[in-house]
Amino acid sequence: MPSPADQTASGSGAPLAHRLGRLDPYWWLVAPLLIVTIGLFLVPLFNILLLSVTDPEPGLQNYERLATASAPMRVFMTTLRICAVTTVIAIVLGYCVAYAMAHLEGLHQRLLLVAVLIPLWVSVLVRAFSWLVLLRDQGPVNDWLIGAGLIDEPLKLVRNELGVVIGMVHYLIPYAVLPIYAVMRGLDNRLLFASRSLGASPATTFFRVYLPLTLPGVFAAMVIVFVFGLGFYVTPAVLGGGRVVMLAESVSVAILQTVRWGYGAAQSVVLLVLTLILIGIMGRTVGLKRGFG
Amino acid sequence: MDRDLHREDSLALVKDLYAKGRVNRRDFLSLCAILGASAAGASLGGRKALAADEITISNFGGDAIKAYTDAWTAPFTADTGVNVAIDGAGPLPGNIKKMVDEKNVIWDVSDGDAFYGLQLGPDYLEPIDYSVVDPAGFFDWNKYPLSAGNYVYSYVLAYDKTKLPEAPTSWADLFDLKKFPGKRTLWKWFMGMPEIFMLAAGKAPEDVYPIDMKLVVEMVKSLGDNLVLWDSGASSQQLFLDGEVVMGNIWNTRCSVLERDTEGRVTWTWNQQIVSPGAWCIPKGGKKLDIAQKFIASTQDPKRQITLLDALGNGPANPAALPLLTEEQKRINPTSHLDVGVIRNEQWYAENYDNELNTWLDAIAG
Amino acid sequence: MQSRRSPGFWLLITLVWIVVGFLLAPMFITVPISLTPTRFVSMPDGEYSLRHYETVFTGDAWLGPLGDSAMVGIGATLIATFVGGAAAIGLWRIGGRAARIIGVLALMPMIVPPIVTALALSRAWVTLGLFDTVIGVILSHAILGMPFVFMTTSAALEGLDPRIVEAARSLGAGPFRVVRDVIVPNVRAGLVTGGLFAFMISWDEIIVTLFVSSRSVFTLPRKIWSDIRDNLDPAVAAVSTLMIVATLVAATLYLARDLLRARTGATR
Repeated sequence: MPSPADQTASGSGAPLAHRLGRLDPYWWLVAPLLIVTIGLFLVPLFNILLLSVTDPEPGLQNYERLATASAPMRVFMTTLRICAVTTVIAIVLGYCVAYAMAHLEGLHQRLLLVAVLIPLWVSVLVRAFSWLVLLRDQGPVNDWLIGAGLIDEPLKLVRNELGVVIGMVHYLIPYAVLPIYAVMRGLDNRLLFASRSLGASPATTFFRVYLPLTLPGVFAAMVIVFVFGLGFYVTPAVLGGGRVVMLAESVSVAILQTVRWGYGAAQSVVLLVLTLILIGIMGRTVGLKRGFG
Repeated sequence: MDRDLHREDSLALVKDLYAKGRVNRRDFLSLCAILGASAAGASLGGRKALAADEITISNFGGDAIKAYTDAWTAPFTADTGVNVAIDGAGPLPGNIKKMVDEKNVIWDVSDGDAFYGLQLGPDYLEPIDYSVVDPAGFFDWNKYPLSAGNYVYSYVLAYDKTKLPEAPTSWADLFDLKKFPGKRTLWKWFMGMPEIFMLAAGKAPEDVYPIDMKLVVEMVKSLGDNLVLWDSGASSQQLFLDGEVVMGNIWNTRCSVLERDTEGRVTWTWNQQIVSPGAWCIPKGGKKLDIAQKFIASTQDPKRQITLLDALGNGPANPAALPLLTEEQKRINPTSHLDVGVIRNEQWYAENYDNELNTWLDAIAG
Repeated sequence: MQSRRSPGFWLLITLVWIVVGFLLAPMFITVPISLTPTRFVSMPDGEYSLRHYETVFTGDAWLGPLGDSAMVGIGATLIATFVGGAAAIGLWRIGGRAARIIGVLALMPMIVPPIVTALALSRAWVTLGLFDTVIGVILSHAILGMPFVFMTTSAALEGLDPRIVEAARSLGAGPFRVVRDVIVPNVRAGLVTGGLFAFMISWDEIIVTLFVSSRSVFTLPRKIWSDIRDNLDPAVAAVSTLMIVATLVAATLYLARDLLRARTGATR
């Protein structure tokens, strides 16, 4: 929405500027991203995704195989299920942590921030392995639970979907906390005071005023956590104990091991389409006016 | 003259230090440059700047980098003056296809399984030149037009002595949950696994192929929660080290390491081992074909193969090495126990790996 | 605010510290493993050793990759933050259907499975002569990090009142000054968060890196990957522990500086 001021600013002087005067000057800010994303990413990507209809020979066999075999369907469902569960848990817990960080002060707040940042430094491989050690049958968690008399048999905490979810939630919580925290910090607290002073209960203030105002952060966090989770490979491979195959790994198998690039590309196309639809749905559910509605 | 000699000597020293990992690549290259050696390459230009007498080979990384250096690449450099760099990134068939498709072939020689040759085919691999490489230096099941054996490894029954009533002796015992209770581990990536189901089901070694996948799926499901999958050599070791499993089908190379690290608690039997041919192949489009063929020929040297056996437990691929082995070396060498094993059928994998790997992954997930 | 001291708030704080405990739990494994005296990964059994730290600090095997990773991470973060942040701001001002479509495009690098991105970029980089160069690795990490910056900055912009911008414009500020002096300071939290994510993505990235580099660029995850595939090396745990310690030291210095300022009565 170019305002008159915009046009005067960019329309002053040279003929080139005159021509561009029609264009909102803010497009200059978008240009680098467009160039990089389209030129260096989407064009090369298109070449690879095209393989889904050309490799090993032209046609739709790869999609046919996806639709008819049982394994790919299971992989898709497992991936979506794990990502959905992970996202919900990570966002709820992340919201709580972000809320505490935004409403505490001084040392307490800083300590929380540091605690959230620390795990980011530990390599995904090391983290996955550490969880494996912690959660296995003879691991400290089961030892402790048995020692405390809470359980008799070790709980199956790892080498299954539960283990994958634990590892992924752990990895993704910081990615949920920080975008929400960033939005909370930017909020004008006077709005809350206003709501309270108009007689709204704390609960009403939270649900009717605070939560809606922080939804952009929640939405950003949801997209980041969910989409990031779709590409997870190492965590499911280690903590799933070979029994939980997620899509990123399945595509890797097709590309690296069985050398069926067309089949791998077809899986990626389906994932891409599904994800875009899901982001659209999420955007609508959260009710954002801008961006991704 | 003197100066030249000194230079040669310094160069040899630097190469030696590099091989032993005491000097990193960057320092190595700059030292070479100072000494005026042709092996030097500018660090920014990467591969293009590398001089003609350096080749790159790939392997699966970790301890194997040092072991390959000691056994194969350092002696080759000493003989020919050609420097050999080892890229431990892990040469899966897809990596080779990628390089060839991109016309950016980095690996002049690649480690791998013999079936890569059958799977990738002549569009992606150069034929092995058996006028340079000695055709007599192989077991006949590890010599193909597009791949040439470099070592032999096998899938064997490993077990934890302290956790079982008696030593298991065959794959049938691995499926006997009553007599041998506890968790067992199999390889997630399928190769070398279906054979043991056939043997356990009572098939004769010569009738193992073609694999009956229906039976495999049924049997693997019968293991239920007692099945743990390993997905890398390291993880198979860790499962036994931590006492998480009582037995399993793992690489023989890991068994000897495990025996050492657990002071004999974990051991293995050669009976019904699934013998697997490791092999070199030459990605198509490499610029140094001649050197690549010569390098492969140089690795046939029995002594060098025995050095690798000592370091990693990979068995010699050259039958001429067998008579030279000591008793202790024979004890850890898969090719000294071929009589009780089944040779993995590379043709079957080349034809069925794609479909049956997916069947397998689906079966173990369910 | 009153609600801060309500029982509900303290209940929340308790829950939050449980979550923090969960976040820090793997450290209780990572740190001891780094002190094990054995050559393989194990929990030390009463006996501790610094041998794996010695490995890390001896020679270039670990320090080289650490340097490469830091360089690539910083480069990728700068590009991703600048490009992703600028686009978020630009699209926020432009609005409408075009902005929505581009907003989705901007997320694409995040959605595509890493292995496919790896294939696509490696082909492109070979064509462009960027294969196995520092610039190539930085660019590919920047592409992976951009969507994160874009998302967090967009989220922060949602809370910004467009009228602030209008006001600045009417006071005669040009678009550049509006962005620099009005918008950026208001979305700083979003930019910093996105930049941090971009750095972390780069710091931990392995699949694309393996495909676009060979021998000239050898990042820390490549080192970890090549070691761990074959042999779980406790040195990996030692590196992670060092990172944790570095974070703690940085945080302590930061806190100390804050406390010192508070004591000397400097106003904030």
